[in-house]
Amino acid sequence: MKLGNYPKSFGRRLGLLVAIASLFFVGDRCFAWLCDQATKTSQARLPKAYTGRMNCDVVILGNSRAIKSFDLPQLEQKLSVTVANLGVNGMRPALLNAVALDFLAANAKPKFCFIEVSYLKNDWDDALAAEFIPYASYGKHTNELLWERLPKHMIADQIFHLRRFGGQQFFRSLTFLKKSDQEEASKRSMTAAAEAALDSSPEAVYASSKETLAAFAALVATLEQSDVKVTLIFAPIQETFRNKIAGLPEWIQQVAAATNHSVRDYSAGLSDRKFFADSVHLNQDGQTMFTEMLLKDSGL
Amino acid sequence: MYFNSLVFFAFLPLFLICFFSTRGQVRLLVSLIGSYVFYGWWDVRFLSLILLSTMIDYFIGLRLGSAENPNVRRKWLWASLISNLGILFAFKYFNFFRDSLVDAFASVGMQLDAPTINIIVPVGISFYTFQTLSYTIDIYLKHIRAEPSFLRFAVFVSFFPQLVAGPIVRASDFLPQLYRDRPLLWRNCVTGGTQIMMGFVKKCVIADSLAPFIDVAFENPEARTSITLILAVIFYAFQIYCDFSGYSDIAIGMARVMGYHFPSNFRRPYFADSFSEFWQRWHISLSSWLRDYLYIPLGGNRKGKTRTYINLMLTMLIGGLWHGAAWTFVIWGGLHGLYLVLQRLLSAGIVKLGGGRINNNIVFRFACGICVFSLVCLAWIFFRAQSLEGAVAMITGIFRFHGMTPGAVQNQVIAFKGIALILGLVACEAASGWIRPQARCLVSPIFMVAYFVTLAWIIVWFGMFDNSPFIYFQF
Repeated sequence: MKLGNYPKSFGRRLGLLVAIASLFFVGDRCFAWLCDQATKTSQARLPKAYTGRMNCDVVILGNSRAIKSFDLPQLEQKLSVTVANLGVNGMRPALLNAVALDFLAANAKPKFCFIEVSYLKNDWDDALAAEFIPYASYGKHTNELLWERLPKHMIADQIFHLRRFGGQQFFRSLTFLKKSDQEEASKRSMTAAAEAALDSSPEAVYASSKETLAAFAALVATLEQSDVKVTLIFAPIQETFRNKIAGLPEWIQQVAAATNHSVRDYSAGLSDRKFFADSVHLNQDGQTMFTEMLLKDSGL
Repeated sequence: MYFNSLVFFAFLPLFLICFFSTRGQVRLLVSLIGSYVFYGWWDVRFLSLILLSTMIDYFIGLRLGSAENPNVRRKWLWASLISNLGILFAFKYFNFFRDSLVDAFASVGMQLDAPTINIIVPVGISFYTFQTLSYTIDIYLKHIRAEPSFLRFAVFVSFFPQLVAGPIVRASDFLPQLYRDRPLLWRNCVTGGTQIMMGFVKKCVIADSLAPFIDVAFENPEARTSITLILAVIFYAFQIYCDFSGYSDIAIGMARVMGYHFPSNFRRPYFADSFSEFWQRWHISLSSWLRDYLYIPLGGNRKGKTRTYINLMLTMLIGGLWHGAAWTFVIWGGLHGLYLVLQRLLSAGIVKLGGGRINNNIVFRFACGICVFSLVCLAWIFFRAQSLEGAVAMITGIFRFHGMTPGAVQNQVIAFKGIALILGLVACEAASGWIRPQARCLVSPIFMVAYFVTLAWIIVWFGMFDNSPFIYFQF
């Protein structure tokens, strides 16, 4: 190649560097604005909750077991209400409260709330928390929490706006730009591989977790102050795995004591493997069965 | 420190200012201090080992260079081999061979009480050991002369861009470059910068984005569908490629900015349509090292077919073991040795069938490329698995063919992102032959601005900055 346009003078070279930096920052802001517009219009559950587009009568909170335990269409049909599921995979106690508080602040107050009270891992997960950065500008509590726990991330995101939209949650927002992700989240059946893994699954311990208990207690108190009727639920666990969990009844008692609420214990509600997608998550048949059970017991 | 860490972004400009504002011996001293700071950041104790290795080889190099008697020269060569490989063995392989021996005795009902060494493997020990070994061997073979300056030799051994994960630079390539001060040149900054940017895209954007999907699959293959496992293996092939070639790109690019020229370490390896070609494109500095210092001294292909096959197997087995002290790495090397032997056997048959015509057929070459990639992926399972049982579980899970529909892919969002990134990489690599971005950046300012800005956006948008280490650091 000929060095025809090779920038020889210092001025031209400096100009090129300035052009690179300027174009980069202009593009960074423009692309970030487009990503933010996508967040604002996405039909995925979290963007809807944070941007005040999730007005519902019943809200479900918890981790992945909250996502995969309830049959939402059945609940909506039988109760003639609108239901929103705000469960998040691998949810941590501090995040759970921030999400719930921001949901309450941005949307009309729901009448009922189901909280799935599985043990939440205490350890703070930076990667999971970073997934909530696209919503920090919409949720005061999430914003405060992220500045407290991920200051470097947040400073970097103030400089490079595009960084906010590189996580899984944003790609989820894009994937579900037109339709809700609730159906996709619960659509799973037990694979032969997962079924085989049941027998080899490791033992688990539900040890006392002050942080999770405090999170549940604070959440219940906040919801009740907002006149939301709270029901605590422990969703079914597949029998083989359930027998390997130590401290499960004690855990449920601790949650009840901490929140001053009774916990509806369905851990042994369904045992057959045909209702499970894996050891702790229900498949669609399981969700239908469990929701029927729940409605019957609630007298709704 | 890692290239993708904040501390490195503070270290590099400081180092470059000191580097370019000094000359001669002072610049060499700056390079050495900078390299030792970079390396000692992990653990200061590692420095004593690299210093010891440097002193041994510097001393032996001088002795080898001044000795004329072949017997004396051979003794000094053995001294270098024993000391370098002895350090490597003690730190990296002792516990592995000890455990293997204990297991072997246990399998015949005998109990062996052997001591273990409780030490951590110093980062990059295999790389700098091979680098210093090549120096003494080259002096022995009279390919180069012994380096009289200890400072220059120490910089050659410990130069930070390539110290911990290569490329393994030969003394004949690098030492002469240390004799002349290189000025700060626009041309070097542009060509080095393009390579550094591409390295960061490969590491922070592609390799680190693929990692979560792969980690989950390899952690518990029994709970994954077959299509998830197949995707995880393909993803791993690209993760390790992007991780390692990304590191090499950053290292070569940084050296380029400083005015040094390092040889390429990767040339689009997954475009290879034969295993021998794959090894001419993958980790070139190691494969050429093994070829020059192991395969050829063993006899190469000069001592008949059977000996050639044995030499190939031995070279690849040792190459596997070089990567890590575990049977999984030995099997990985063994599989590649087997592939190379089978390829030689098959290509002899193809030549008889019609030779050149078939070899030049584009469909045949494409099919060969797919076959090579699939078998390379199979070998990667052993490379990635934590144990032999883990590798077998992965292979069993794949060949169970349970859940082979796209809907059965677990963790679809990461999978979708991973596929998109890989397709983007393959397209870029396919196009890089005629676009030649490094050269084009030099001649077209518009192209240069577009190239740097686009890569910067990609890095900022999709990059993972969780300080994850480079995979090859463990070797």
